[in-house]
Amino acid sequence: MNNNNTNSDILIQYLDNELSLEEKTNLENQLKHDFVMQHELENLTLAKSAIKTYGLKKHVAFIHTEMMNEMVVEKASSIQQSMVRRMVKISMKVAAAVFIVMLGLGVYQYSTITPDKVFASNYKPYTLSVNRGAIETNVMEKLFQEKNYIAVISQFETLKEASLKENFLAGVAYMETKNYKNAITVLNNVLSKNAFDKTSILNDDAEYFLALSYLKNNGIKLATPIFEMINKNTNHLYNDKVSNAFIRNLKILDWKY
Amino acid sequence: MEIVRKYSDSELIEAIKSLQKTDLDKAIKYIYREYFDMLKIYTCQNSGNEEDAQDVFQEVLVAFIDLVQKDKFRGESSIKTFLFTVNRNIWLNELKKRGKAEKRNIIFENEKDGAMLDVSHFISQNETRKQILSIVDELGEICKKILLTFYYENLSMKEILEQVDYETEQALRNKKSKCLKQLEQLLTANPMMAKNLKTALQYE
Repeated sequence: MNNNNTNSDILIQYLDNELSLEEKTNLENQLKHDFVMQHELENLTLAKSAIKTYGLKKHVAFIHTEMMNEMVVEKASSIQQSMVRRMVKISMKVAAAVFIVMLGLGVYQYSTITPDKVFASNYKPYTLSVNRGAIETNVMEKLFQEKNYIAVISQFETLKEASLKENFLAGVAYMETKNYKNAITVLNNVLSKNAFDKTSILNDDAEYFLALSYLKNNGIKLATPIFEMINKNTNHLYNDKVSNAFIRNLKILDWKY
Repeated sequence: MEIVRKYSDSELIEAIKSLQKTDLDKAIKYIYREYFDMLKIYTCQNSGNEEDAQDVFQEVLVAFIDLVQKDKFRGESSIKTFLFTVNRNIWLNELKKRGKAEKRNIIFENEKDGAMLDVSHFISQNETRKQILSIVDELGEICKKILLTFYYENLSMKEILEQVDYETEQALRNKKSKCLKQLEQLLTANPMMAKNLKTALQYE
């Protein structure tokens, strides 16, 4: 038994390459004749080989776990990246489509817009409120209510001194009869008179119809600041009539003409 | 972040043969990044799943590294072709065991391999490796640690002494001899296993 152990130890040293050259030569000579030792060496070699195989298996298994985790992370990040890229691509496509549609609309609007169209989109005839209970109605007011604008103008032109209201009605009547130059003059008189008297009688109305008259008289540059003022002033009587879209149309008109 | 380098076939072989553990680690990781997905597709397209693909790939890698480290990889084919062929054969063999493979398919694949690469011995060695795992696992943890650090990691007794609870190098050396003999006895107690292992060694 002891001899066996000694043999095993020497054989292990031989396997581990720990014998001196002399010991190694002696052992190799002994091995040539000793079949038991040969068998023992063969089995120890098998054991050593088994350990190496086991080590390699465990080593690969360890790296395998590491690599699977890495690949999962890489895959997740690549999915995320491709999703982001896809989203960006879709957003770009949508943005491009919206841009093209907007551009098309813009081009269409630019090519088709005219002062007449802008005017028509906003214009509503002025209606004179009926003063219920009033015993005597002014002749001009009566004619205006009847929409007899020519008669209103004739009546206005006979007056030596017209009131602020008569000026305003005449201004609107000039506009209705497409005499925009006179409409502009008379409505400007209303605003000047109000400014002079520090009053605001029919002032909002005069501003609005003056701006409309400028628009029809190719005076877009003069009409725009009045409409912008009405658009910004929420207390203005005509504020709800002058929308942002209307102001945009005015600007397009300004570029075009 | 680890810098991932590219290897040619010959550089990969050199890295696997290297005694530096880090070189081997990098080579194995490179093989994973380069070939795992390709081999996984084959396994998954032939009645396998992700888990099967992972198991087969590990076996292929062990067979390949073992061959290269024993200087038996002759380079008759590219590493890619070799890995693919071994992967396919190990998987078809597994399917055969599971009774799932179509006979016609296996015959065709075997004939094709005969013309290209003789990989049948890798399959039989693969079975032997599986048996070795369970036998080595019968050793105690300390024995496994000493034998692995000495024979697989090629550490010196002095280096191993820092990792285990032994006072002298001689005591450690004695323990190592005892462990190796214990493993030898476990192996010889399983004659079939010993015979297979011997056959595998003879091929080497």
